[in-house]
Amino acid sequence: MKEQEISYQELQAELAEVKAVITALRRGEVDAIIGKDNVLVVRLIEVEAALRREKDFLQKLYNAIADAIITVKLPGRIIEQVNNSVERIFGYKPEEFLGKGGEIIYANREEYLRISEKIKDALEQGIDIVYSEHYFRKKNGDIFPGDITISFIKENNRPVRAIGVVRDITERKRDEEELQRYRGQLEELVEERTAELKAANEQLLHAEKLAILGGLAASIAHEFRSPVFGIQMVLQEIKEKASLKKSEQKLISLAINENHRMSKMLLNLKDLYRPSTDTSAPSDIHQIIEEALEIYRKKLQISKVKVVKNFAENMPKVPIVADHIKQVFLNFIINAEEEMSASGGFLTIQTRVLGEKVQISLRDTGHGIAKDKLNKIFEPFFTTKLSKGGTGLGLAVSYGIIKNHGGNILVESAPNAGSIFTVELPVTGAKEI
Amino acid sequence: MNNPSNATQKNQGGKYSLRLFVADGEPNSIKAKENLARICETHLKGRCDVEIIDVLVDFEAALKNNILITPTLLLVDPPPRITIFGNLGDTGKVMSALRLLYKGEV
Repeated sequence: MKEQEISYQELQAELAEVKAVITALRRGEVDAIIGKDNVLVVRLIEVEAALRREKDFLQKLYNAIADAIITVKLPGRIIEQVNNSVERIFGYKPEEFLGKGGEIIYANREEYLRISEKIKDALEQGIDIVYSEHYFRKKNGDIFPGDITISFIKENNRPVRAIGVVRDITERKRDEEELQRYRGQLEELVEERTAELKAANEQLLHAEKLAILGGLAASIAHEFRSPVFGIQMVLQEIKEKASLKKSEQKLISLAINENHRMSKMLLNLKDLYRPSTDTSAPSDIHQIIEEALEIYRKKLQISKVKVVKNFAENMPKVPIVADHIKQVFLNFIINAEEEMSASGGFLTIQTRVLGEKVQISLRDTGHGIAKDKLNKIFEPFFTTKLSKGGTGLGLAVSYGIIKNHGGNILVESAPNAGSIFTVELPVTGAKEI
Repeated sequence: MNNPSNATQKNQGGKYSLRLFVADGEPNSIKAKENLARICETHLKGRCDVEIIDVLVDFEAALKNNILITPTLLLVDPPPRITIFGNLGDTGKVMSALRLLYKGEV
């Protein structure tokens, strides 16, 4: 019993000694620690100050990092430490996070299970860092895209903590999407421009072709007019003065008619694509359309073609050679009537003012034009109405007139869907009279 | 193994025998020597024998006396043996431990 008491006293004395050593250590009054085999000189005050400085620096760095740093204890994944950036990124105050389960930061259960699987795989394979992109959830419920880098702290080769660094990549994602959108738009634009250029190129080639054909036709017409006029005179003389049989009279009349038709064609050809010598004057487009309609009014009535007019208000006067433009509209009206003569239809005439130009479109409800013929309809002598006596010069002449006015003709058509002929004329230089 | 050459004062009457373990040149050890010298001069004038042992020179002496840290002051005589850790900056506590503090004296 006595020995036990002594042992207890010794124990008490040793405890007191240990306490005194700890106190001295705490007070920074120790210079050296004597071990079994050597003396470890420690400058505790300096070490403590250095440690304090280091800790202070690391703490400031920890909180200055823009990404959210979340440390969870393993196993269990309970949050035990966070930096100040969690408030900016997640909306939680740092203290609100502590003690919560790690899954609180993820957008939903699926995201949490996905990262859990990655962590499990990494630990099984001995990988110390996991990188992954996820959707996260803020305190107010907002979801945002982010990436997370998780590193593990191990003790005795067992993971005891996981440090997750979460970065909000909303802006990066938005930039990526915007870039993608711009790329798409750029591709579309390039495609569009390429198509426009191709169309413009084709139009240019077409226009050149028409100009060459027009010039050639005009030259031929010029050379042929005199002989044709001579033939006309001779035929007329024969018809009036020679004594002919009735059948011969008929043949002569036929020859005169055909020669007359040839003369008319030559007259049209002469003006094809030639700069007009007539002077232009500011004119009322609507009035010109009305006059053209009036010329063909009866024919339209017979064919049961109803005219619908949709005229723009405030149509300016346009500098044109009125008779030439009237000829163009008349050609369109004639064509439309012929297209619809079998069972009637509607001819809709619409005018619009588009900035520095006016647009006149004539839409019929006829048979339309096949796609492969659309490119050829303005070429001289191209006609779809050969059986009806078409010369193939109407649209070619119209095209030349509009081009001479600095305008343009567009055509849209499809079989059994009717046709729209649109004329555009510049109003530049037009004055109110 | 003690180093007798470090003894600074002669034991007068053998009343107090003190042994101070230091790491020579280190700040707390310097303070401890200064503080002990002041206590001896003030309260034990002519009655203490101080042996200063530099553990960096005499490591064996530290082990023999079960010294864990420096500075450590050992009251060898009169018994019981007392051990005081630290730089001896708190004079009152040091004197109390050395049983030198009388009533009314701080």
